[in-house]
Amino acid sequence: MVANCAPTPKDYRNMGIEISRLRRQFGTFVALDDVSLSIGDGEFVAVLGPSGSGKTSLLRILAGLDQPDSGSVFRDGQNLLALDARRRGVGLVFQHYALFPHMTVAQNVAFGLRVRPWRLRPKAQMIKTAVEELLCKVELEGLAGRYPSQLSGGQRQRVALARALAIEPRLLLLDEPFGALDAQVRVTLRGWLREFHRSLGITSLFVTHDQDEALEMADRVVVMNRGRIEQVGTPEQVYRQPATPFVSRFIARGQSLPGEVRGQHLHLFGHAWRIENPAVVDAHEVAVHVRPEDIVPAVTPGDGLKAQLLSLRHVAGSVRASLRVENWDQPLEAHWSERDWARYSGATDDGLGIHLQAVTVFAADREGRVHMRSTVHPPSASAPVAVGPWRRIEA
Amino acid sequence: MTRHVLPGFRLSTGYTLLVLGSCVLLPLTALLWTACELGPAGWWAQIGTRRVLAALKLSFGGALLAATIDAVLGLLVAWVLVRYRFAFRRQCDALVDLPFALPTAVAGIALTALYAPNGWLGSRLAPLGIEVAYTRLGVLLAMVFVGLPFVVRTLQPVLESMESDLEEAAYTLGATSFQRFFRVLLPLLLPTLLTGYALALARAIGEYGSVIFIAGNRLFRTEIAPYLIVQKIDSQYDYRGAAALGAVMLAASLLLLLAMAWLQRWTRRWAVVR
Repeated sequence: MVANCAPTPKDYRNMGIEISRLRRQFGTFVALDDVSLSIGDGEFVAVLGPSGSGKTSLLRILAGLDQPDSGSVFRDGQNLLALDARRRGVGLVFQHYALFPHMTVAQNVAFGLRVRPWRLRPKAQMIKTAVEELLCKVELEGLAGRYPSQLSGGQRQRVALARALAIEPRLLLLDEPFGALDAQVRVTLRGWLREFHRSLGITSLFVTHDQDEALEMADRVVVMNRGRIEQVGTPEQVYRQPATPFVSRFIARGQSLPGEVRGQHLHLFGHAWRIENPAVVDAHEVAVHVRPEDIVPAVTPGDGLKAQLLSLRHVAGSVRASLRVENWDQPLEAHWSERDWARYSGATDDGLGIHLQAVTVFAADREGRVHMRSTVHPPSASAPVAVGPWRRIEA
Repeated sequence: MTRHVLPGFRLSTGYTLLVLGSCVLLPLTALLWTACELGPAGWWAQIGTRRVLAALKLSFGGALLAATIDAVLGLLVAWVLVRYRFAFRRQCDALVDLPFALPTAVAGIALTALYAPNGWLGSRLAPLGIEVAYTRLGVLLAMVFVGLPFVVRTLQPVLESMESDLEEAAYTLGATSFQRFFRVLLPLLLPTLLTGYALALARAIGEYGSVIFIAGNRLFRTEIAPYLIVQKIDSQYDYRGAAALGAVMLAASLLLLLAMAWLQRWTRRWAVVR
């Protein structure tokens, strides 16, 4: 939980950010390609993408450490790009925190207030109070006199956060906030930071390459790839309705299948299923994806697609299987819960039958833009219904 | 018994102590021994003269001032060489080492030729009332010349490895470029700068070859302590007197270096590990 130690909630004067058509090129490498995005008041947005996808470039431009080649960023009608980084009121938490090693925790946090021009600089006593308040908020009260080298990774991260918040930013940017922490601390801090954001209500944008992190913490997720935004949506949307094959692969671990669209039908592994969406039919290129959790073992042996079990790993409550489907040389990954697996467990050396519960078809036009997406639920794999011993007894 | 990465701890330690002892401690002990043969009164008779005191003052005062100038100039040179890309940067980088590589006497003659009243620069400075050769200013100039590479070369790797993160963090927190330099960069560079300062200082105190030519060695005015030591041996065969002067220089240098080491530790007090 986030400690409640501020006497009065600070007025962070949140406003929406309007990013439109940003482009940034380094030599021949296009870091940002026509990126547009609007961020609402007090929103917690995750920018998710593999390394080199342009997410850090976006962050640096918003912070004022870099300028785009074209495009604009407005905050409540004010052109942000025209402002020097010093005057933007943007708090940035660096990936490796960038704490000043020669200053104590308190001096680090006070830095943003001490460097103000003397007319705007608070009195020493006020700075002291503000620092104490911030350190209390990030739960580091006892460590004010320590140097960064005497802190743990998680503590350093919170110092960096407090330091960025000291200038009362209107936009908080976090670059891979948990990148330099070990897995245990990372998971604990995730929940803490989400709560913390909720208590402050400050518009925040964080960059990450970790899907779990983005989906767990953010209100909205921006998925980036090769300098472009692939999809913007809630964590549920990007998982359930991925807009592009990339999002499907990156968020839901979608795996491509050798499917083809002919006429009104999707042909896959010798079966054909009718596609309801006519737009998919006249596509230039088609990608067919299946998620690991949509591959389920058949209840009755001999039913469904024939597959060979390559390996099976039990990972704390879930089963991860690597399968090879007949007539397809790429292994498929399937995730089941331990309970389901125990129920189905009819795998023999000959293999097992599998059903595909949902298959997503992406149809791209000539320019490679995905213009239609359709999810097919093959009827042969009608969702398995548990037939329990419970039966309603009529009175 | 704990295991070390390298075997033979005793052998290597013994060897290290032997080399250090025979190369460093033995000559120094001999120096002190010779100086002690004079006794307190004789020692004071050697040191307490006006000529010796003036020379010591010039040697140490000049060296302190020269090292300070080197620290400022060296920081500037290192900064430009690391942070900017310009034509002939590599050549400039190589030039920094020149005072290292040059035989000191050559450096002295070159400086003298340049700054002598009939030299290329000296003749132009003379009408302005600035005399460099055969004055204390000349001594200072030579000391600055030989000490500069020490500051540049110690600072360069530290500046190169310094991440831009810290400056950018200060920038987004609202610091002006002036504040970024004096509040963030300089405090972080200070320990290294002090190392360079100490090296330049040590070099300037002991410098002989390049100084004596441009100094002109005028009595009470531009004589440096090392010059007096050579004089005592050369013209009077006064080994004890030379040793007495040497012992004073040794003690003063040692004190200066100790002070530097302490100061350096103080500027790095934040680097303690839990």
